[in-house]
Amino acid sequence: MKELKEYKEMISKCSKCGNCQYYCPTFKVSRIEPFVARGRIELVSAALDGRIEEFSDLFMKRMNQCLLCGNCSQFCPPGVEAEKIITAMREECVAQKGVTGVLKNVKDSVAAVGNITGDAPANRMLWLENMAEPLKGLKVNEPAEYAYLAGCVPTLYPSSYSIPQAFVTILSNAGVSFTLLGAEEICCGYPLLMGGMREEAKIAALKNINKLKELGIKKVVTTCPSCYHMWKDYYPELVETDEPIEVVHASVLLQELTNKNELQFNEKKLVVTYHDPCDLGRKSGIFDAPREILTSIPGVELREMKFNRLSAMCCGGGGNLEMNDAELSSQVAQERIKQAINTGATILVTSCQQCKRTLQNAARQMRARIKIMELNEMVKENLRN
Amino acid sequence: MTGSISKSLIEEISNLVGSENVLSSPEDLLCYAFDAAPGLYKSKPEVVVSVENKEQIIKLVELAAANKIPIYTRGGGTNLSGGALPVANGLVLSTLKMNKILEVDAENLTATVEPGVVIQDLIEVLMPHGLMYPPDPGTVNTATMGGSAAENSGGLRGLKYGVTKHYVIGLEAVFADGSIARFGGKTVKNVTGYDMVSLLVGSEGTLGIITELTVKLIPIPEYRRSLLAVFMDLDKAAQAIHDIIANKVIPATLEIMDKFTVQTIENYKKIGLPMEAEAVLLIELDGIKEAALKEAQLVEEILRNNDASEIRIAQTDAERDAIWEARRAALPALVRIKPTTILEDATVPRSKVPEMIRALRDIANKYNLTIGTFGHAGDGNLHPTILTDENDKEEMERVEQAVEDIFKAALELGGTLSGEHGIGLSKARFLEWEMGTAGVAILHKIKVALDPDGILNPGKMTSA
Ligand SMILES: Cc1cc2nc3c(=O)[nH]c(=O)nc-3n(C[C@H](O)[C@H](O)[C@H](O)COP(=O)(O)OP(=O)(O)OC[C@H]3O[C@@H](n4cnc5c(N)ncnc54)[C@H](O)[C@@H]3O)c2cc1C
Ligand code: SF4
Ligand code: SF4
Repeated sequence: MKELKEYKEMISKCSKCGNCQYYCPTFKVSRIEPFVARGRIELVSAALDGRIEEFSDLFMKRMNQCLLCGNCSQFCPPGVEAEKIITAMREECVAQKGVTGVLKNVKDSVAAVGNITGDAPANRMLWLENMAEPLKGLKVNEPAEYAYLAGCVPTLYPSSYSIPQAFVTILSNAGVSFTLLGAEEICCGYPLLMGGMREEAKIAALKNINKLKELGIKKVVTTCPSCYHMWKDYYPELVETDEPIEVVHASVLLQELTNKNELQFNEKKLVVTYHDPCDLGRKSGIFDAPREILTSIPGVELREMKFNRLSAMCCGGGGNLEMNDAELSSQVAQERIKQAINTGATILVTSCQQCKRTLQNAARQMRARIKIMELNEMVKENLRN
Repeated sequence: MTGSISKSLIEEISNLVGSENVLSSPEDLLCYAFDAAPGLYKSKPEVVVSVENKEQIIKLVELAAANKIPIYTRGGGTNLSGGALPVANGLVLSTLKMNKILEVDAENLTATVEPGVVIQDLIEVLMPHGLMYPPDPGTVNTATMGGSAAENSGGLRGLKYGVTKHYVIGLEAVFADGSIARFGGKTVKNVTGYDMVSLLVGSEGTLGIITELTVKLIPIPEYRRSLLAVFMDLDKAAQAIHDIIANKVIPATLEIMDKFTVQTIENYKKIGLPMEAEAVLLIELDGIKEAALKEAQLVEEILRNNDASEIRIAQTDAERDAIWEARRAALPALVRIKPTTILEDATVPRSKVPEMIRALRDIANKYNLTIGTFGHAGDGNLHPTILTDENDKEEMERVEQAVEDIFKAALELGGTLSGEHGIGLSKARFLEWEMGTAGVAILHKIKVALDPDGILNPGKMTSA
């Protein structure tokens, strides 16, 4: 992660060709220039040259309306990475103006209780206590091959409990050795980093790494694409350590288990479509694992949306947009639901709790007849025995 | 004439279109101070209005006319000649929210669309009908039907299928006095009155605001065959182009890339293009399978007879994509080298392509500039691409002189200033070189007759 001034050359390379219009989700739903990469980059550039007031409320709002999804930069002819430039500008805004709005609450609550909602740490275990068929012998804070980091949203938003519930059931059935961190799990720091709070994110990273060292654990598995991306790509940059911790995304672990025939499925005639979470797909290059798992369920037909894999459109939940502009976030999610409906699928599967939440809300608002499921939920529902 | 827009007028506009469709903060206006044309002066409009229907356009034009406020119509904002730039304050009218495809008439082979429809969206809607709208500028995913009609855009398929003007057969537009009129329609033949459709196509937003377009469609060709040929001698490549046409083969696409472009693509993408090639030709034949294959065979022979050092013929879709990947990579590869890319489109008669390429090489040497040339060799429309840096004042002066020399060279070879990117702001002062004083005066008279107060896209093309 570079600082803003290091992006000057990249900023000057934006030729204003407009190619980003085709890929930018916020542009698709608004069709105005301040909501697309080239407009945002022009704003940053003008702020740096003193052509506009640098940290006006509207300026900062415009910076915060980017999903940081990276779809534009993937296809940008000169390779301008808008999401990185905008993240650096957000950092600059925080340095100048401090943290404002909802993000301030997030910052304070991560510092105080280690999660984004402000819940008491013990609430992190409610999903486990709520399981219809409680699992016996689950480890909490004990040595094991993997630590399963369930993440803030799945453990603190009741509508997402089913994701860690499904995942631990699958792991237990397959005999994988893992431990939960329970009430001692804390936020990975990604929302802070994307909100321009590098120092605060660093503190979170350090705490997390030390916690695992304490338990003597070398491998982390997570169902959350953002935790995954943070641990894999940003932790090494934020915290120097001689023993890097290996991080695995749940979908990759499930793919291994499927290949080893540890997971077997009942036949089900279904047409599904798959939504790539930005942090898992475009940012981490994991496209095939979730698809292979889905198509290994006999009878499942996978149909791709028009924008898939590298060009997969963000669900609307990226870059803290839901906190910054809920209306815009919802419009993006509704657009994505339309793309899913166009495939004729009856189920949209994704591998991210945040994508599931935003897409599910949008589908509900649109009264759309499409079911939104997270990959682990889908796998558990179709497991044989 | 540069009437400034008062707060109360902005309020009136907001009442008309809804405040969510009006942008007036300095931050937002800044995002409309550019289009895709490089190196031009950036000035902000006073207000940006996204219209949703033609009634709003009529009312907006009436307001602007009464207050003598300039209107800059804007589609995707991807033009390369500064056509959508607000140069004298005023109002940017964005058509992007008028993006409905009103009708696909498969029986009459026409489609009727609103001006803000993106070309690719139309192409996709036509596919299930087995129909196609051929004009495909490089910006097919972002350029609008209104903007590409106003620029009379071309594309890769120009040689066989022509350009935008060959497909727009009906138009509706709002004029500077707020009147609205419709010309042409669904019939291919129409000689009623002056050919106003032709006048409005390519008028760059200076004569009227296009509110609806009817375009002609053709069946999607049943079969396509792509070839790539490498030449160690530019003249041999040129001779091959000549021989292909002389043998009565009209490829859908016939593209050339010069040595510098080929090397840049290879450095960027590693597609396996030979670094020592003087020119690469990319060719696509399409039509009925038997015919396309026969033509491809003939083309292959011609390429061989002209000593092509390597010929690749795509046998599968993947191989075809690989060939066109090379062409698609040309601009992205070139724009990575320097901060500013000046993409020209001076066009010459087909037979003069080699002379033009040599002239471009001399110009690059004379002014010590980096110029990569690629383009539509089949129709003589080359894209000399100057790689430079807007902030390097001294070099930009040389660039300006080089651009003038490019125009001169094209005109001397019997060509034109612009094959497809339009005149706009950047080429307005050269109009006379091609049309003479009398020609420009005629354009000016037409402009004044239709827009006496000069409120429609002032400063562009004729009113420079
Ligand atoms: C990378 C790149 C590649 C390109 N490749 C090609 C190519 O291959 N071939 C080619 O021909 N061009 C090409 N272009 C140029 C450009 O894409 C075309 O000119 C395009 O058709 C412009 O469409 P737009 O919607 O972006 O129009 P805009 O840029 O928004 O506007 C263009 C002009 O049309 C006017 N206008 C827009 N809408 C209306 C309307 N409804 N009524 C009246 N006037 C209107 C504007 O005032 C302006 O003068 C390329 C540009 C780029 C950046
Ligand atoms: S695609 Fe890249 S270069 Fe083109 S306008 Fe967008 S950010 Fe700029
Ligand atoms: S990162 Fe995503 S939201 Fe932001 S400008 Fe790029 S495509 Fe748009």
